[in-house]
Amino acid sequence: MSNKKITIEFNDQIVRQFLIASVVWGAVGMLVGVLIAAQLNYWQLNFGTSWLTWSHLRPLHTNAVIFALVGNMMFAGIYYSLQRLVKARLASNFLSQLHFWGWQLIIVSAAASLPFGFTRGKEYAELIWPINIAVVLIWVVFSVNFFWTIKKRREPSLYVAIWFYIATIVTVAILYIVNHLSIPTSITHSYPLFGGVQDALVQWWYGHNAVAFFLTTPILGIMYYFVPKAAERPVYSYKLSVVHFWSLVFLYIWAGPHHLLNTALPSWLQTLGTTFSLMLWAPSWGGMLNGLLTLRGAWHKLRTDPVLKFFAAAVTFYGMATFEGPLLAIRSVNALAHYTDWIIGHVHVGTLGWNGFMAAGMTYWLIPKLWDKPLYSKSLANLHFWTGLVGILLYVAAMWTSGITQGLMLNATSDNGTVLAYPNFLDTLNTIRPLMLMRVIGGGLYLVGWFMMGYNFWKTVKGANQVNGTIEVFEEATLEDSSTYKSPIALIFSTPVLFSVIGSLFACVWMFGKDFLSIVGLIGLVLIVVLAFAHFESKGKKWEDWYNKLLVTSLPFTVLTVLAVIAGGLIQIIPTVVMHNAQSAEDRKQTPYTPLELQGRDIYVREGCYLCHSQMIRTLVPDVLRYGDYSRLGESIYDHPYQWGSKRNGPDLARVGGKYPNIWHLRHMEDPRATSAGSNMPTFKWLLENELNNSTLNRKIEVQRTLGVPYPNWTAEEIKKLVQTQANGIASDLNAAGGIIQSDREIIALIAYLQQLGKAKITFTQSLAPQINP
Amino acid sequence: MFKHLLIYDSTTLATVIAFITASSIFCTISYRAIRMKKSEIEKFENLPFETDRNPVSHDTHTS
Repeated sequence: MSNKKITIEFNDQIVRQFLIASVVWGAVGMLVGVLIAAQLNYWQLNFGTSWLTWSHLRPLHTNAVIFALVGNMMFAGIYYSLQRLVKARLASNFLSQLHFWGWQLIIVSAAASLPFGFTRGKEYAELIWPINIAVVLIWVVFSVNFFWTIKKRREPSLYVAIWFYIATIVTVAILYIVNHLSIPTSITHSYPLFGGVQDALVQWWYGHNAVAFFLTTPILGIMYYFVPKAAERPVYSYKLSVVHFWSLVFLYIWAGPHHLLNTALPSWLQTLGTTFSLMLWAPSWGGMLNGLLTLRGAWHKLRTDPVLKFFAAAVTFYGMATFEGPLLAIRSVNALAHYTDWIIGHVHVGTLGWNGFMAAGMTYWLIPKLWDKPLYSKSLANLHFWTGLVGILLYVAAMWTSGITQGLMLNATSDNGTVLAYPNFLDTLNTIRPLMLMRVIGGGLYLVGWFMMGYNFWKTVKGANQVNGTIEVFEEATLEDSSTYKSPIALIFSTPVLFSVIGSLFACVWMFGKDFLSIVGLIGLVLIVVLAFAHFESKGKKWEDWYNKLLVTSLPFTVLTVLAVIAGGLIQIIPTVVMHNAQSAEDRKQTPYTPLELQGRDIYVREGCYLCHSQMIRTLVPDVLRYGDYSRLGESIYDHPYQWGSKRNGPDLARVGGKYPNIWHLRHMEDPRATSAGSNMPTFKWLLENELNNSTLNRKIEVQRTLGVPYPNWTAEEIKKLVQTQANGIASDLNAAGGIIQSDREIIALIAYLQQLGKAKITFTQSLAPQINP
Repeated sequence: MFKHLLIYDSTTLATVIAFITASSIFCTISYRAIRMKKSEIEKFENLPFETDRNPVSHDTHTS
């Protein structure tokens, strides 16, 4: 190896670009957030347009803060720290720029499609299929750039922040692809591959882990790099960071079902979700304490340094959010909190407190370094901190109080639990109105703080020089020079991996094999565990060497991370996929929608009704008293996508079919206050004006058939006739009741859909019939 | 075994197996972390401080 040193200049241009994008998109995302919070108080702020309606803007808000604010911030932090930790410039300028501009184009496409009702109808996975493909492609560009840089690195050891980045890259790819598998019916519309309970499980496996691996693990990596740098001292305990990483990565992926507690999801999956959520307390708090204690000896700096203030508060909010999460995953607590504002409060502790403050701290730390100029105003940064903090506290206190109030009122009963204490859903709404206003003030203050940062940023960088960091390295230093380096192949074909693979194979034989094979599998598994332990006892040094070398070789490390992540996913999803068929549905089975009802359902999804109305009556007495018999697994078996919902700004609709006459629905959509005095639901007048578009209906039914929905082989003419007949019937009924409306309007299809909700046939499956009815 | 996962109450066994698996991994990793050598730890924890030579360092902000 040559002793000659060379200077490498880091690619900090891309860091600057992502940092600016994060601040700008963050402001946009939060502005939309404050607007939709205000719309819940003043429905008139929907301005009577479809594209400014709450249910159209809410996906824009969530997607903007997740993928635009946190996404751009994450890429800035990763690219800055990665180059320095591996002592190498980013592998490709072209890929870096492609990543940046591709990601911004995706954000613009989302902003141009979501308000206009182009949605897949699944939370945080609303983007339509062409944008989904773009996301995957750009993620691949990011991954190639990342791993190529690691390949070129001059530092053999992989710091724990890089472990978190690797977990983020591989897991987000897996989650995103699986949850977005769809069959297109047109350039803007598709049906998800999964339906009913299967779709619900996959969605929350994705949804929960989007929080875990998009909003948490990359930010933890950023925490492990930037907090020590800002505090000018190493991480409190590197050992703890190792435990934090592996336990978090392994546990998080199992916890998704806690979003579906007390629903029609099989109970063993609910128990699994609760168990693993509770186990998450340990690593999360380990990581939180590790972050906070890194500030040991630097606490006095918090008085004056806004960067450390933001970091300390962010890590504290991480601790609060990760304490609250498992708490909410306890079934009895969840019975109170689910579908209420408490969950919204919980989510915002994480996003505003943890993500937003980490982003602010990182931004304030980076600006002077990337533009070679001191921050314009430290006082303004401190003011941003206090304004944001008060904003979060007001927001969260309002949502916690509001959520608990909602839960208590909606679940309250009298007469020994046989009568609802507050039978009118609007009683709850009117009680929480002051709290909803407090939420707007809290969110508004946080937004004002963010604008302060934007102003401070602008004043600092205006006229400043952009500078790139540099490092001196040995000219020919490569990974192979390192004494700790070992080839990836040798690491994969090693004793610990072989024992693990053989053990897993025996476990599969035990799990899936019949009778004799099952016994062989069990014996084999026990034997392999004993042998592995014996080998470890006698040749422990080999195992230690393997582990140490794993930490400097990214490929096997990545493979093991993938295995840890997919283990939990597969155990949940495979049985559910197999179970999800008409034969397994007990008691009640959904009847496929008529063509008009299917059209109505697509309008329901387009308008984002699922964001305020659930279609899942839980196995809880107050739910049954309020909405009717609890929902069965088979009742949504043909729903692509499922529409169980996650929040009740309005009542559940699972059994709304037949509850009101057609004319009620017409008047309700035209002006919700005409039928429900005091409602805060926006008007949906355009449904009475828009003509129903049946041009892709044949293709939709064909795709539904491909997905397993038992539709007959109708001809195009038959489909047209079915639509007309049913639409004419509803229109006649409406006309007779005084609602003059043409039969080809969208509202007719929506009414057709709503009126069949909860009308599943009561049936008995072959396997269950003899047990129930001998 | 697999049919039990689909039909019978013994599916809760899956939760127990998952718990044992996760606990085993947690214990193994904790054991490994505790056994890390001091020199190794020092090397890893100082990685963020080994690099970076910005032309100007602006750790002291002005207002």
